[in-house]
Amino acid sequence: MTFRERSESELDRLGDEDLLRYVAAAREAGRNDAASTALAIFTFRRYEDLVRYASTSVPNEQDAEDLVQQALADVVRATFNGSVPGEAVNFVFTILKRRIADFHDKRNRGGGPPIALPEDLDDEESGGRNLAIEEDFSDAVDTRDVVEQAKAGLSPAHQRVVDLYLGDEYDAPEAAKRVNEEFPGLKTPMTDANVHQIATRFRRKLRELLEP
Amino acid sequence: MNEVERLYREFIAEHKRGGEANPRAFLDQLEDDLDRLELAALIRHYLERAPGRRWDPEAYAESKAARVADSILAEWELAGGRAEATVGWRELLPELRERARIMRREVVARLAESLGVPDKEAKVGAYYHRMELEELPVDGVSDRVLEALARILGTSAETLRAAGRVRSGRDQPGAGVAFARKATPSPDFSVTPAAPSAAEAAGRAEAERDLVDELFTGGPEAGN
Repeated sequence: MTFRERSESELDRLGDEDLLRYVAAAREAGRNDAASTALAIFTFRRYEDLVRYASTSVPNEQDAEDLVQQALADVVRATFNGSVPGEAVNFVFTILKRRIADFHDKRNRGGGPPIALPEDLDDEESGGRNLAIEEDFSDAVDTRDVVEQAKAGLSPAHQRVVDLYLGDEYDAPEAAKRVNEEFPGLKTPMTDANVHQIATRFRRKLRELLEP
Repeated sequence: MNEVERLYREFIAEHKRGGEANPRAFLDQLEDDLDRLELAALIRHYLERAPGRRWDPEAYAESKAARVADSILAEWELAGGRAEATVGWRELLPELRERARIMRREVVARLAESLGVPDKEAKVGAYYHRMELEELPVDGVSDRVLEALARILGTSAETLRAAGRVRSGRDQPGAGVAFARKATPSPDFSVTPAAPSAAEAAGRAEAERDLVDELFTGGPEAGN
């Protein structure tokens, strides 16, 4: 199969999965320059959010960066092996969750220094309360996101309310308006008050699931 | 709007502006543990769905992402271009299920059916679960199982075999464990004075071993 080189702007418009396929195809064609450009775009696109994600779950920024580097390298290798399924971005997060779980598992088994709890650090060490949430990662790494679990009991229209109001940052009137447009068959039209009620119920469920 | 929701919206706004949006800075503003857990969960959910940064070559040149990409490139060179599988069953199997939108119990039911043992679904399920946990040595798993699983999950048996080898020799138990059921039990593990002799125990273990055991621990040719 002939490899067709793409411009940076073309590559930037590709989804993650296609971008990674391009990296693999370029390597296969011996075009390491093209592969490295696509890899740069993929890494740049995802790196910071992955580090943000990891930093909610491990004690310091360096650990978060190390885990993200491992996860990205794993995904790239998996691409060469032809085993990146589904949407690559989801796969990167799946790998990252596993790396975070491994990190905690290793620490808990004594494979590294114990993770200091917030109360063990003074403000200077921890950067104020600059400490990750020490949650039980056997739950946190479940591939099913806890937010998705909390949404699972809601009707499709109510799930959409949660997505729009909490996920996409629309205010209540706009979220209600959009849901009414998307679900014209609702018995009673969605109102601002409904949006607030649904968001409150959703968050109550979420907190139940998160309760230690 | 309560404190968690306010901070969550502030985080999103800062993120969309291209600001630092360091989750810790937001989490640290909450005293209550459950509030922090909730905010962290919402932030993670948001980040998993965020579109990512648009390409900016100048910003890239100065970024930590560039160092990470360089490191991966260097690794390619060291590996001489070999593409070794590094994603194991733990990551791959759940991801393939997710992609195929199949619940684990359905995978198990279809696998048991496909292997011709629909009445042994629970046992197949136990073995499949061990595969997802990478507790089952890949060398013991038959081609028949991997081919059936590959058809269900929309991949190839070769890919599954390669993924299964990723942690073999590191975190997985050795191949010997796969065949432990065939081995003579050690008297040290006898729990009652009336425990059978080693020969009797071995014979019984062999007799209890069925096709499912054979398919999941008997090696690539098993069940053919």
